[in-house]
Amino acid sequence: MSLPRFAAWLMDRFGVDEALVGDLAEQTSRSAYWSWWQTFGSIVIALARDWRSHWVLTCRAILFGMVLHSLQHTFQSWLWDQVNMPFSQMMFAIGVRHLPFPAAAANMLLAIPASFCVGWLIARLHPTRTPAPVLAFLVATWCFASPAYARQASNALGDPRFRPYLAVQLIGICAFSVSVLAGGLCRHRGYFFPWKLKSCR
Amino acid sequence: MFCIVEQMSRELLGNFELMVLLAVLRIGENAYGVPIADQLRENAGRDVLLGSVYAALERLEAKGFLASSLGAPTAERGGRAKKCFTVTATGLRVARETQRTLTKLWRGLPALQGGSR
Repeated sequence: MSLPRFAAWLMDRFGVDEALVGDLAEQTSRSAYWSWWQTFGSIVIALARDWRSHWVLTCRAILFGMVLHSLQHTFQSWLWDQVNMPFSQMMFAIGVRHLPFPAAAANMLLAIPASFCVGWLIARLHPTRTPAPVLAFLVATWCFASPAYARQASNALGDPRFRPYLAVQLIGICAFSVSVLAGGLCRHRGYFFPWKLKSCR
Repeated sequence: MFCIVEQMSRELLGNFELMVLLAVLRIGENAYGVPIADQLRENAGRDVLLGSVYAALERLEAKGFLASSLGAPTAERGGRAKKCFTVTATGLRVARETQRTLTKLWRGLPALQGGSR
């Protein structure tokens, strides 16, 4: 089986050596499992090497990302204050009386482009071979957020009424992570769209 | 002091690095990622990650034990060039020194005699 195009795209985005991607593309007799195992292994090794050789830059990226994230949060709160009233009126007009969930969804939609910009800026100002600084920022964010999530999870386990809130929080962190990573990968070298990548056949 | 430590770490070969260096020596010409990984698999008896092979190759190149050259891109590689490696004179000297040191350390060890224990 030839190397899946998505695997080649992932390795290209994550800064794996081009010669290595070529070596994997050459191995047409190997199984899909082998190709994916090699792909993820190569990405992890490339990221670990980048973290080790650019640890100062990575620490700076985490701090810079935290500052940007808090600025984004402040801006988003201000923006939400501006649109909250018209949003509530619109929801009441279409018959929605319970507002927390639509409000959370709207807030998430506002946060996606801002998070994308955060990822892009981190990658732009901390250039390394792989998007390791962006991933380090994401890992740091998850670590900081984990106590709140653990509390929410224990609440949800104790009382089913809290489960939708936990779900909203989990969707929120997933949307945030995906948009930050997309921003970081967008800044990175190579083609952003898999279909523009060189053919592997 | 720092320079001496750095110099020592530059001259030392890790276990996997030594295996990769010997695989490159064994292959001779056209030693690139896939044949090196195949050589390691045949001798070590387990599949290796190409990523770790490339990481070792890059380390060896940075230490000056290997030299690399880029081949022409081919269609079967998706238009990507092949990176071929050759052992430098320094690499050859370090491999010989490592062999000598290991042989000396091995010799006369009762625990390793006869292969029964």
